Amino acid sequence: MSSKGARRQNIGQVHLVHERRGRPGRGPAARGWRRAAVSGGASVLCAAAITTSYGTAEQLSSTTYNAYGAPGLVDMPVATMPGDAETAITLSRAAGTTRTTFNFQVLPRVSGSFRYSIVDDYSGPGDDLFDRSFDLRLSVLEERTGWPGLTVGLQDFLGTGVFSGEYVVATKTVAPGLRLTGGIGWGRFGIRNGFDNPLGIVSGAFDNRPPVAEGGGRFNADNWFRGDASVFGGVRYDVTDRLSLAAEYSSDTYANEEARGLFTPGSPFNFSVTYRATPAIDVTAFALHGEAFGLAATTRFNPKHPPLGPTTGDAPPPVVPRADLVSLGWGDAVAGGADFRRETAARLAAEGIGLGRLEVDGRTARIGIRNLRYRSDAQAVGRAARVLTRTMPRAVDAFVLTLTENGLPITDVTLRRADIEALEFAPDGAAQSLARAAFGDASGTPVAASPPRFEWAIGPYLDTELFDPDDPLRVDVGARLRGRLAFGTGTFLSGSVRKRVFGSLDQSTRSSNSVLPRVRSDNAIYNREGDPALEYLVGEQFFRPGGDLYARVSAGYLEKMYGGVSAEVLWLPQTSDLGLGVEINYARQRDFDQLFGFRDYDVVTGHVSAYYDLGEGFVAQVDAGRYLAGDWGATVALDREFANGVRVGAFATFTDVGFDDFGEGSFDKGIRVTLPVAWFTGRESRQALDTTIRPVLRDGGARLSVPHRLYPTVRGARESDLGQDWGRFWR
Amino acid sequence: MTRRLAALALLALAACSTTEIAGEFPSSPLVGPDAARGAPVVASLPATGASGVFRPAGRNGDVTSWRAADGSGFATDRGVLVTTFGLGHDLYAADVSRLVAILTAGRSGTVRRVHRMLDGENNVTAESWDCDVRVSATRDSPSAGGRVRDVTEACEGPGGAFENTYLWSVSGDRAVRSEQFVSREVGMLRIAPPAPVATAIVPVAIGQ
Repeated sequence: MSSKGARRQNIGQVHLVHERRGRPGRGPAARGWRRAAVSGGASVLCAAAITTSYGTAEQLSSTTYNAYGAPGLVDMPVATMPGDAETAITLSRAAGTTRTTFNFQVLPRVSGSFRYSIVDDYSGPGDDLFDRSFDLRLSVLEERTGWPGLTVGLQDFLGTGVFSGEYVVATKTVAPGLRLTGGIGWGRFGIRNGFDNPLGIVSGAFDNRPPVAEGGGRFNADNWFRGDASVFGGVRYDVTDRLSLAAEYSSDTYANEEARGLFTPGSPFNFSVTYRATPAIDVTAFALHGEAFGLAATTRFNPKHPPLGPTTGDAPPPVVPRADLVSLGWGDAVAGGADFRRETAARLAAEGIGLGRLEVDGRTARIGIRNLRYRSDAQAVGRAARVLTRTMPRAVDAFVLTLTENGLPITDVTLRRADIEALEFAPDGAAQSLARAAFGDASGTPVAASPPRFEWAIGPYLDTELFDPDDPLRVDVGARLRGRLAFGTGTFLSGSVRKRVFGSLDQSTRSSNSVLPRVRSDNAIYNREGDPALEYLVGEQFFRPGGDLYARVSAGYLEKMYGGVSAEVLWLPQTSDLGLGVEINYARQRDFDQLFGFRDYDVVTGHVSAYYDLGEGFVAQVDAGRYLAGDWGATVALDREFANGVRVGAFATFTDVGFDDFGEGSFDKGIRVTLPVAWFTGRESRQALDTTIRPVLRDGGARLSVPHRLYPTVRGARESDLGQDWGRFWR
Repeated sequence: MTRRLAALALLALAACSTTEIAGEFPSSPLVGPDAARGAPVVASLPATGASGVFRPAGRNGDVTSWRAADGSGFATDRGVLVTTFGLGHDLYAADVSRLVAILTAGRSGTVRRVHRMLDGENNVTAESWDCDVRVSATRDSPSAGGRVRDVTEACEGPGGAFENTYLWSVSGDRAVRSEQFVSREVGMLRIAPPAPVATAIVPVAIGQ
């Protein structure tokens, strides 16, 4: 979709969530023989920067990316797909056009892109075009001996069509380092020496390409592969491992740009030189149609491969076999004595684990634990088991560990002490210990009432706002103080305040032109007036109404723009791929100053949700119900989640608000990326960075943002997720 | 444009340096450090030059766990490496029972060694190496305090090869000095008794 510079409201949003669950881990001193750990939290950019230093050639493909940030030559695409999950961010500039593209290899044979383009003076002097577009590519045939790779692609398939084009492209490696590419294109790729669409044989409808609907953001399926077609082709030659040359015959004539007097192509040929500065960074210089020079830089990483390696945290405490307990000075008298609970709590705390209930009942010890440090609950279970081998009386031969999250007892994990002792260094200790562990729903397990406990954190925050034509990247930096008081069983009071130090979020002068209740589109006013801001102040009660069921009631200032009451119930059995939830909220819009007052608008909103684990890390989610503007509809989302916590997904919402009433973009949609801080710092931590990028933030299909929704809270501690991560048990 | 670039730089900087100070009340109880038991070793990574002093932190059967002050660690079965921690690309588990039997018996032979690793998606992967173990005649070593054998273990496996070396103490029935393969990314780990002077000067961990 696209917008002319000064006309429309146009706000994207990056949402930083520093608190996921728990608190950061203890940082190791940078001594000994380990690689120096990078300290602190960060963002996608930070991850890219760190990956740049550590990414290795084995983890990344030999793909080069074109000026559109897609696998390609100069402007034209190739059929070759990057390695599964490879993620590339490309920044390019040539002929008055700047593009930033995020490309993700969704599946081994499917890749997708989100692109933000700025075309200088497109709509007149000083009136730039700001365009957001999505691509999708499918590998029909993988390259093999005797066969080229064959890929079908849709570029800018959801937009006003400025960059829209479709293609079928083939690439073949003909000699080591030498690849030939040829293709047929439509739309933007079907202009130079265009000929009648060969698909006209199938149906006359393919002969003409209708104009794109106003407003953008719609699936232009009746445009795809329509109109004249044209051929393109090229060659890439790898001079060395780090230096590649490309030449292509382009089927794009830049007709739009030429008509506006922005760029007049000379020859049909483009050339480029790509230098692989590090395995993760490419720098490309290119010549466009004999008339312009361009520059591009690509940084790549693969979520499957944390840049510092998969195992970076502190070593766990060694298992203490019962035979050695006495020699440690831990006879039974001491183990069962007055300091027994304190000692266990202290040793667990040193491993980033909170101790709840502790009962020794003959030969069985029952212990409630809270994972405060590890992304994987299996690792917390393993560390707790190691600690217990040291602190439990020798008579105890079984540990029942109850994983507890936000006061919800989720899973009972039963471990035999003899197995922990025997398998600590067993070559297949991971598989054997999993086979011998028993899991159960902890719905009936009592949770000890917690004495009041207060956790606090103070630190800097970073907030960004994207895609405002006046300044496509606005940034605020400031300080945030947050705290959480826990008491009773599953009762919490949480709050967060922040104060800007400097930044430009308050400089947006965009005003909403929405014809709907302005449930989100006054964002700029909230940014201007909310300093200091009370981000949230919420009382929460979590409880288990029954087996496989989880519940939450929250009340207070729930989020930046709304306060109210929220109630949710989730059904999620221990090993089920399917989860079902219901949430109902009464929400009232908060004052722009984000302090304690409210505005007049209120609404009852809520959803019925289905979550389905499709396998291979894919999770689908459908939420159907009533949104903030009172509109009814459904959100569909698909995420790919890696076991290390990285998540990349996309979502779209369709409601009974018509595309025209919605305004620019036609419906709410976006992509979201979650990066665990541990992934790129190498330090164990449960913090994660959630980024949601919407091309446009408007009022239709807007959902209340409630903290601590149940599905992400519960899921990782269940039997099926513990089993998937069980390799972490011994780490 | 300049302002945009400055903002980008700022973004990267601020994001990369975000560090919270956190606390809780009542605070978690603390444990004192465990008393060190047994003689330390110096372990180093020839690939990076990093080294540290490791003390025995636990014993389970024939396997000793070693820990350094910085939280890193590894474990050895009679001096033969079975696992490492905190190196990024650690040796998750090594099946070395056959090798230990050969070393104890003092005879040359061949062994198959299975190394397990944890990948970035928490899967345990295994690869096997075929190793040719050559054991020298027994000789006197005053520094090792008795009779020793020099052992080389040349291994070939998926896409590569490595050679481990051990100085095997006959009386101690364990390797007292060795250089052993961890992983492709990390390379070799060298384990040796501390030089007397070094322990006197630097009693804890040596910075890298």
